[in-house]
Amino acid sequence: MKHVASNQLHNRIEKIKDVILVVLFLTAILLLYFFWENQGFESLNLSEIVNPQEEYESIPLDEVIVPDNIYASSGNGVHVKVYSGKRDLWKRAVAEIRKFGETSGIFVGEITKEQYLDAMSGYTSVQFDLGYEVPFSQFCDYYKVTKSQNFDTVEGVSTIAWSGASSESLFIVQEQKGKYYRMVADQDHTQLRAMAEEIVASEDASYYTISELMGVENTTMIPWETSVSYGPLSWESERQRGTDEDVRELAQSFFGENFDFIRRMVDTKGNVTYMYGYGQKTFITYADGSFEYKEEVNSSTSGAPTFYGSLETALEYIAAHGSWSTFDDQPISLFLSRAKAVEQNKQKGYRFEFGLMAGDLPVYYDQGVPLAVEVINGQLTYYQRNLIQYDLTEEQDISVQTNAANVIASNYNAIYRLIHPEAATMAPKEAWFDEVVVGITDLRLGYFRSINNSAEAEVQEMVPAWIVTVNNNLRVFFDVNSGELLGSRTLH
Amino acid sequence: MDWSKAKNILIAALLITNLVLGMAIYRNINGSGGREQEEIKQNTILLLQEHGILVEEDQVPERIERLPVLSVRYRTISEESIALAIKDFQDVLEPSASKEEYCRAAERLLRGMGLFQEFFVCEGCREEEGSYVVSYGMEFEEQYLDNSKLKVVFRDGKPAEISSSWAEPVAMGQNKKRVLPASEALIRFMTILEQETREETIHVDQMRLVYWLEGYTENGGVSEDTAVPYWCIQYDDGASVHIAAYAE
Repeated sequence: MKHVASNQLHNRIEKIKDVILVVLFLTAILLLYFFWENQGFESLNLSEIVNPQEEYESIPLDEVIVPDNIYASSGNGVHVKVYSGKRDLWKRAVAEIRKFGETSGIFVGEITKEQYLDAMSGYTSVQFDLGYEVPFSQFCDYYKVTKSQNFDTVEGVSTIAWSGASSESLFIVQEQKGKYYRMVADQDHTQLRAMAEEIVASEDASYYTISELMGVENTTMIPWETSVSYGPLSWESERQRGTDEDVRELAQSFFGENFDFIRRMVDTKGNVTYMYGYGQKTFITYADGSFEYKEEVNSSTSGAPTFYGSLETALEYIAAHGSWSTFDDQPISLFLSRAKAVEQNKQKGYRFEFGLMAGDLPVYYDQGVPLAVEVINGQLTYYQRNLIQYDLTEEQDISVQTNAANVIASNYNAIYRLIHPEAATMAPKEAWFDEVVVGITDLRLGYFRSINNSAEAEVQEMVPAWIVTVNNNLRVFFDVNSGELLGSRTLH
Repeated sequence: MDWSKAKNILIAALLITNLVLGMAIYRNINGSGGREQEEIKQNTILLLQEHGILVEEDQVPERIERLPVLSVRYRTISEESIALAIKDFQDVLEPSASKEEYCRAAERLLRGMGLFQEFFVCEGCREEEGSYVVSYGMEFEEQYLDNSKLKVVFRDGKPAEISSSWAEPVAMGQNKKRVLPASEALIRFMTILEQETREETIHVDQMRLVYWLEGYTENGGVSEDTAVPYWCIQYDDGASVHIAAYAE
């Protein structure tokens, strides 16, 4: 009996020792962690261990890279502009461009602007206008287009085109420098003729050059008749549909563990600024619902940033700070609308602006853009977020009541006075018409969302509008039904 | 193998390990041992002396490990309410009134206006060209908010004006962050002064940890702000330097 009792006691002691061992071992690991990281015990965050920070999924580059314009022509001077399905068309086009690149002995030669325009208007053609310029070599690398030695001749690409005028060729436009190239293979290896004919046969709107419609020399294309799928749409900013906690989480994503020690300032307009250090990092939430983040450039690093590498950095950053959905988890349809090389503190990088789609039409603001990011040498130094949410009504086919050419003709005075503010009190002159029309560099349909007027408006509504760009630095908005001037903004 | 003995050895070894780690972490949190701190202080004082900066041993504060941020709200006092309060203030102080009496009168005035708060600290009364100026600072939870001041000016025994650059403390932050040791702040102070050309010896008058609002201007259009800890080093009878106290 005594022996049995002794055994039981011994077993119990051994079990207790086992438990003590496990506890001491785990404690040792924990203490080692604190010792190694040189932190206090208050740095232990149980919620982070139980609910670790979710990993953010970025969206692929191909989702946002969509040509700004895709035009096709049957050679009669009329061009058809694609509104829907651009992404798929571009994917098909890239496959054809890749086929072209696989041929050997490609010759690259420079042509004149007139030769290019003639090839696009006088023959079956298709043009893919990216809307921004990419270094041609990087473009080929990204899309896996085999590069010939002669490709070094082409510095950058903003438009790639094909024309029946020289069906074995591809045409490259570098708009910033006004350069046009023809890349000639031994024969036509692509299906781009079929694509051009397919687009022409679609019911998308026909575009004509301003020269043809308005009698003033300008090869910018504008539509004669067109329609929209939706009427005016009511909208709310992402901030309006979100909560204070959403804003706090967004702010915290920029500062991490330092969030509790940053300077928070609220100004009399209701804008809130979060600042780390002496302004090394600044995040501002504006009363109008937009957000802006700035970070000082790290001058100690150096390198040669690539376009697509910088864009990927931008997309990943957006995914981790605010995500590709709004505060209430509504996905947003964004596309790369503008890109340009920038420089800060002698460090090179890129600025990317993203547009927002409402149905088939892009949304334009009279101030700011939906998303803008600057990546300098791989470091994100600027991030602006000004997203809106809207509810699409029932899809219709609403004919646009005004004609773009007539709208310009009726409002050239107002446009001139926007270009030349000093002429505000002058009587209009005939010469103004020519100057305005010659200066038009883009005209398209879109939605116009006014930030300036939204504060006083009872209902926040964006309307289909003619978006007229003049001299690449002024954008003017006109109502598509009344032709009324809605607003304007300067582009930088 | 006698597992029981092996467990005993393991338990003893882990106990000793945990004790050593615990002590090391405790020293990291609460700073180096007293002797080591004293040595650092002495070395720093000597180094500053070599660079023409004189600081007394008792002027170097004891190490304060961690502090939170301080949320503040900017307050302005309207000219109309000041004028009304001054007009309604009945007491007139005798020409022979003491500085304490001026301080009490100032407090009565501010209480009458509903402005006086528990964190107001009377910094004294001084005579300036025939006027008596009672100054108030702000002390919240034993921490001083340096660039928040309020002054009541008396002329001929009556309050004449109230001036303020007033940031009202609201709340301390929930989390604390490590603060730069005083010795290190003095080294940075020395570095700042060395960028200026000077020949005279610098005498440090006071060194203390305060909360400070960087770039605070009275009409900056800001309603709320956050003050962070700074080492305030006053020297040569009036000059001062603020050095960011949050360690990176």
